[in-house]
Amino acid sequence: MKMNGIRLGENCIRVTQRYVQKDFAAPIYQSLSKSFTNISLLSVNSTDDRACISCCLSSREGERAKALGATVTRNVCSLSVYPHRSDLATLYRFIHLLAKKQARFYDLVSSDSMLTIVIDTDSQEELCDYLSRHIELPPSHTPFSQGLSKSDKELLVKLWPESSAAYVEKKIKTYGITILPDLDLYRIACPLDQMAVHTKKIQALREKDLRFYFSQARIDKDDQINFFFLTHKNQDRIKETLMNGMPDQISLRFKTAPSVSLISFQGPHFGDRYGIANQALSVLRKASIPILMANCSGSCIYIVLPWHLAKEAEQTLLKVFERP
Amino acid sequence: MSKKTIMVVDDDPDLVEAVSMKLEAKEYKVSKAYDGQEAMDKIKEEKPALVILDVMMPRKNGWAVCDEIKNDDTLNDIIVVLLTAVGDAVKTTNYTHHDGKTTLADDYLPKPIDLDKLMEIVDDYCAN
Repeated sequence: MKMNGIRLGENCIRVTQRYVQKDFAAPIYQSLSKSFTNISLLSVNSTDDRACISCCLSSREGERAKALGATVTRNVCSLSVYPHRSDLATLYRFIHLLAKKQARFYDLVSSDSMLTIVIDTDSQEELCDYLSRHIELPPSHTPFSQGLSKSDKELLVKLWPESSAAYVEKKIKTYGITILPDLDLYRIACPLDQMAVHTKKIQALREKDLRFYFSQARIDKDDQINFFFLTHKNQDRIKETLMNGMPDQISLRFKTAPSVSLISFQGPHFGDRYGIANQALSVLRKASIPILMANCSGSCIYIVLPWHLAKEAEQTLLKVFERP
Repeated sequence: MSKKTIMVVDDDPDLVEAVSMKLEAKEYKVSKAYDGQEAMDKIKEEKPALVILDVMMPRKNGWAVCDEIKNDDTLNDIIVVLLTAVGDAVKTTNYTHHDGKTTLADDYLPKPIDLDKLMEIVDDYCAN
């Protein structure tokens, strides 16, 4: 598997909020936004009755997050590989590598080009070495940490206050809003060690040149992996390829019926600026548009919606986001 | 006519991908780098026609990369387009000032960048 690089995000905490949908009051991203707390990575999954919001914050924000009643995991970091080029075989191979190593991750989220996992800081170095050995990287590449030198940061803040994690524009700039209507959402649920045995499936996926447009995964406490991805509708070849020879413990199913739409947009460092994910998700909530899943990482926001609400969601988002 | 190589340098892989896709659609050959040092290594090896260069990056920032290119006789004909969040502070199209130094770049585009404007700039330089 060829990749261009590995990017690291350090000194984070992971904050989670689980909720029963009918009792849901204030999402954690809203509370964090009110207290000017930056979210560097966010995932939302409401496909079950018991939904989950998970985000990464700076390690300085632990007490604040605890005070909001969230579950806090300290000493985590992120690791991203890029670019995935929407290649389902690449996504599957990445998860396969992690499973083979029995590498536990808390969350996996996709952006336009990156696959990012949230892991314990203690495991970062070893995992980075392992991936560097198993992924073909350019010789000139060195895995680097996200973030700027102190002097660059000072200069940036001085000349462009917006970059000090506060967006001052009336409407948030984007490079455009993309809608992919009528997609299928797949879910694979299986024990982590079962995921590690499917090497042959990667080659089969590659041969069929299958694409994904969004992905999210997490490993539960009982080492069960829940892996979601979106593809074009009626990709029976995916089902065939993945189900072929699959042990009984693995379930693969369409999670949502009848289908979903994906709305996505990119802007300058969305993941580094406070309040942007909240602006996107809260304006949709206010308009009573259900959010099935969402990712905010790198400079992208991806939102999965019931298929018929994509246009309405786009119009609603344009109240707070600007399209060029 | 051989395709010209454009190098895109930014520590935001999502932006690199978005710009690269636009360039590839216009049939440019695209090379990618994600920090200043990696960019410098690749520039020496590949000698692209034009470099689209972010300023704030790990390992080596864009100001330093631009300086190295423009002060090297074997590289200084490479066109450098800086992507800068401080575009409004740039008074001319040819110079910018950083820490008391004057750095020569060929053009500037403020962030968040207008992708269509960037493609126009690339087309103009590559046509000449």
